[in-house]
Amino acid sequence: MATCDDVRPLLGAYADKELEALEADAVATHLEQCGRCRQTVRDQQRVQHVLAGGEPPPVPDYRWDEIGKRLRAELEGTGKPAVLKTRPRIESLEPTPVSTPSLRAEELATPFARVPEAPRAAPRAPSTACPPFGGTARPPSVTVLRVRPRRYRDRFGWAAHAVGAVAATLIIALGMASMQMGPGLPAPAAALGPIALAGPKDVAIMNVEMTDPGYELVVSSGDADDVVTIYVVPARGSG
Amino acid sequence: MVGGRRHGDAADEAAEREARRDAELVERLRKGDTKALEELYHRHRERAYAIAYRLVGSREDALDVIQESFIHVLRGIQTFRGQSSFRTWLYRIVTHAALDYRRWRSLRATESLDSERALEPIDASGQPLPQDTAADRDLAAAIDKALANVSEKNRAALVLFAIEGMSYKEIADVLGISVGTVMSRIFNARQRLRELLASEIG
Repeated sequence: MATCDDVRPLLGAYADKELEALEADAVATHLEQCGRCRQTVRDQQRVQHVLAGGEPPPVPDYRWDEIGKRLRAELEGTGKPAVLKTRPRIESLEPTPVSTPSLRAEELATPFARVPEAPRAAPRAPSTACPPFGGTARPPSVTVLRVRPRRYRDRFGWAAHAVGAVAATLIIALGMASMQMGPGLPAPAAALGPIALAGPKDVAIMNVEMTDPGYELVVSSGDADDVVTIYVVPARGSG
Repeated sequence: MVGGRRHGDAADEAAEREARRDAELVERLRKGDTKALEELYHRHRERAYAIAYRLVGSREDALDVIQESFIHVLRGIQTFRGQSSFRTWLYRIVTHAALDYRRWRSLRATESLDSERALEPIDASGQPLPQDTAADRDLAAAIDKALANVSEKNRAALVLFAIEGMSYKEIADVLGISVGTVMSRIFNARQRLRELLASEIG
C-alpha cells in the first residue's frame, strides 16, 4: 500500500479531483487507513472553500470606463503612449510546445550535414584492402565532437609547443614515407586534401574519433587560433 | 498523471463558443477595430481583475495591473499566434504583470496606504458598500493578509485555480510550468494558508 510520503504530493490534486482514476483510487485506499492524510485533505478543501467564496471588492463603473478610455486612446494612437511599470514579455506570453520540433526532411537528406557517430560496440579489424584510385574514393568517416583553442598558455606551454611540433612532423614524415615506399599504394591521403602542415600551434582537441583503423589523423591549427585542420593519412603498417 | 478539471458537455460547448468569439474579436482587433477592443475588455475585465486583486492585494493596484495588461495585449496582439486561447494568453499577461507590479511596489515601499484603502470597498461617492457584513469583511481581510504571506509562485497558481477555476493543465499553460509543479504549488499554498488562517477558519 502507498505510504504517507507517496500520497502526500497528491493530496491537493485529490481534493481538487484533478487526479486520474488510478491515482485517485490509490490515494483513497490510503486515506481509509490514515487519519493524518484525511485531515490534510479536509484542510485543503476548507481553504479552497474559503478562497472560492471570497470576492474582491467591486469596481465602480466609472473606474472601468476610465481604463476603457485609456485603452481606446492607446489603440487609436491619440494622446501620449502610456509609460508602464510592468514588462511586456510578449515573446514569452504564449505557451510554448513542450516537444522538440523534429528535423525537416531537407535537413535529414542533406549529405554531410550530420556526421553519424561511429558504432562503439564492435571495432572492425584493420582493413588491408586499398581504396580505389581517383575521385570515387570516399574519405573515411571522421567525427570531431569538440575542438577548442587553448586560450591560456601554462607555465610549460613552450614545452608542449615543442613536443607537438616534433610529434606532428614525425607523423607526417612517416606517413609520406610509407606512401612513397609502399608498392601499389594508391595514396588516398593525396585525394583527401593537403598534406602539408602549417606550423603547429597550441590547441586542445577533444574527442576526435577515427572510425577507419586504416588511417591516422594529423591535427594542426592554421594561422587563426580557432581554425583547426584535420588531415587524414594512411596508418603506419597499413597496406 | 493529472487530468483536467471535469466539465459537463454543456459547459465545454459554452467554453468553445466563448473561445471562438474571442478569436473573432482578436482578428478584428488586429485590424484596429475599436469595438472589438471594447468587447474583449468587457468580456474579460472582471475575471482578470479578480486574479490581479488576489495577487497584488489592493483594488487600485489591481486596476493598474488590468490597464497595463490590456495595453500589453494591444501592443502584442500582432504577435499573438493563437496557439493558446485568448483567455489563457490574457491571464498569463495579467499574472506576470501582477507579479511585476508587486516587485515595483515593494521597491517603492509605499503600499501601506493603498492596502488599507483596499480593505474598505467604496463606491463612486466614497461610501462603504452595503452588501458586506462585518464578518465577511473580516474574513476577506484575513484572506488578503494571509495571501500576501504566501510565496509569489505558489500564490499565482492557487489564485488561478481558486479564483478563476482553471484546471491544473490550463494553469500549467498560463504559468509555463509542468502540471506536477502546479500540483505542488497549489498544495503548498493551501497548507501555508491553513496555518495563517487557523484562527479564522477553525
